[in-house]
Amino acid sequence: MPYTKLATFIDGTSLNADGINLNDQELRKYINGKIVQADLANDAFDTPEIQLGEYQPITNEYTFATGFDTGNNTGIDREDRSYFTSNIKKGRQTDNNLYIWTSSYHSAPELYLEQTADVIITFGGAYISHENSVAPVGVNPSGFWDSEIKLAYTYEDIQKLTFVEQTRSYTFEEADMSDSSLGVFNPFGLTGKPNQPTENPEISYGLRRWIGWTAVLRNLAAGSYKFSYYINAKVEEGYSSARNFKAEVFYK
Amino acid sequence: MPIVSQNLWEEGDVPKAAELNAPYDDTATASAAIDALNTRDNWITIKHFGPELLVGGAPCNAILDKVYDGTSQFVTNSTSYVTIDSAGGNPTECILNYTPEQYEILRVEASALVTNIIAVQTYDNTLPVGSRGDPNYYSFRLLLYFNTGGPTGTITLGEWGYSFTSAGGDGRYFTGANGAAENTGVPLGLQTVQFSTVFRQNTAGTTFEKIALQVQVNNALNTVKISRNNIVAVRGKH
Repeated sequence: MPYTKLATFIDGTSLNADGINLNDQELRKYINGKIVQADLANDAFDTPEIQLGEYQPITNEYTFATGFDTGNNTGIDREDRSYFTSNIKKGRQTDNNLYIWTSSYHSAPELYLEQTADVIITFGGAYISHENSVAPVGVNPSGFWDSEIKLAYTYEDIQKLTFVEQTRSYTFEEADMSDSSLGVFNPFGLTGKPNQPTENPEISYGLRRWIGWTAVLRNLAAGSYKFSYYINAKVEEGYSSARNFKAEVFYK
Repeated sequence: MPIVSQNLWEEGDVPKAAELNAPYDDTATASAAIDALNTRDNWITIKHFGPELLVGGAPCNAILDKVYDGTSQFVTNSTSYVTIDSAGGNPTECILNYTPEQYEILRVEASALVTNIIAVQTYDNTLPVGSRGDPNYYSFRLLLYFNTGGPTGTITLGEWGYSFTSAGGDGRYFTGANGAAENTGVPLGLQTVQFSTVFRQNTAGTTFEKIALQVQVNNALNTVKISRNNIVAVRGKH
């Protein structure tokens, strides 16, 4: 509650030392810990009054009064690759319902939220699908593609993945200009090896793609989170390179 | 204005009661409504945040969004911008409905998954040299709807272009005629798009209504399809 003057001075009377001391002592108490939220004016404070951010170089984290900002960027480091490969048998590569998710765990931040927060994740990565020679030569087999990636995270000690569908992407996928049904056009061409001289060199461009997305996660509860992108690889060899992964936390 | 005054006396002055009382009375008045005049800069931490304290009455860096994360596709061959509506009846519009302060910053990000494409004509040799590859392109736009008390106006926050195939320019993988699609590079379907922009509102009294994510193609023979998509808007200051 606000400061209260305990002694009032009156004209024509002697100045009383106790009165001065009372007022000063009460003032000292108020300044030293009795200011409460109710004493602050409403609708009065603006950006200059809010604490400046602070950079933590070890964790590459920028802390603000309203949250923090962290992540990593290997955008100029082409050698820092993350490889992925199909972990299922050839026959099952054609099964679009069999998912085996592989994490690129080192590419992503781990967050500890002190209180409920909104989080924006921004991701970008160059994906190269290098080889898929299991495709029979000379034919366009059905379903040797659909390498799907998504953002997912675990919370606290619960290892169950929560997928974020607003980030659903494909590292390579048939993309026929005539809008044929899925599984008709082999993105690796006829040989399965786009670098073969007999293949149209343009195919390799189609197998190198930048994947990027922005995801907003609302009202995440306090606690620790581990984010990563996960890939359901259907190729024999592929990798991501030159990627960045940024997390912005906005406390509620 | 809560400022504490203090009288200065010289030797021989007889202090008046009002002068003696003034510092304590002013402190009592100031302490009932402490504001930015009484506090140093940078004092507010997350521990101090309460929505009633701040100008505008809401937390800093408010996030507004519109997310469609389903698998339905929005299909269009429109050569003018149309708002994406993948699910039907639920267009990708981020509702804002606030009046920013002067010079307030609005940051907007959007991303989407382009699914199958239909690229019938990606090259047109009847167009002037330098423009013959134009049919190969499609573009996205973020459109801000606002009003200043009257009818709704719009501002283009930004446009971002993409191509149906990997071919570009006038001399690469085109046939002599109007271009069989398979000769104009590989199709670039099922690719992600992602873009962002920052907008500063330079005047007071403008109400932001919403932001729409829109798309158009350069040639009506070609079709673009969009599945999951989103808009994320951040009020930089509140």
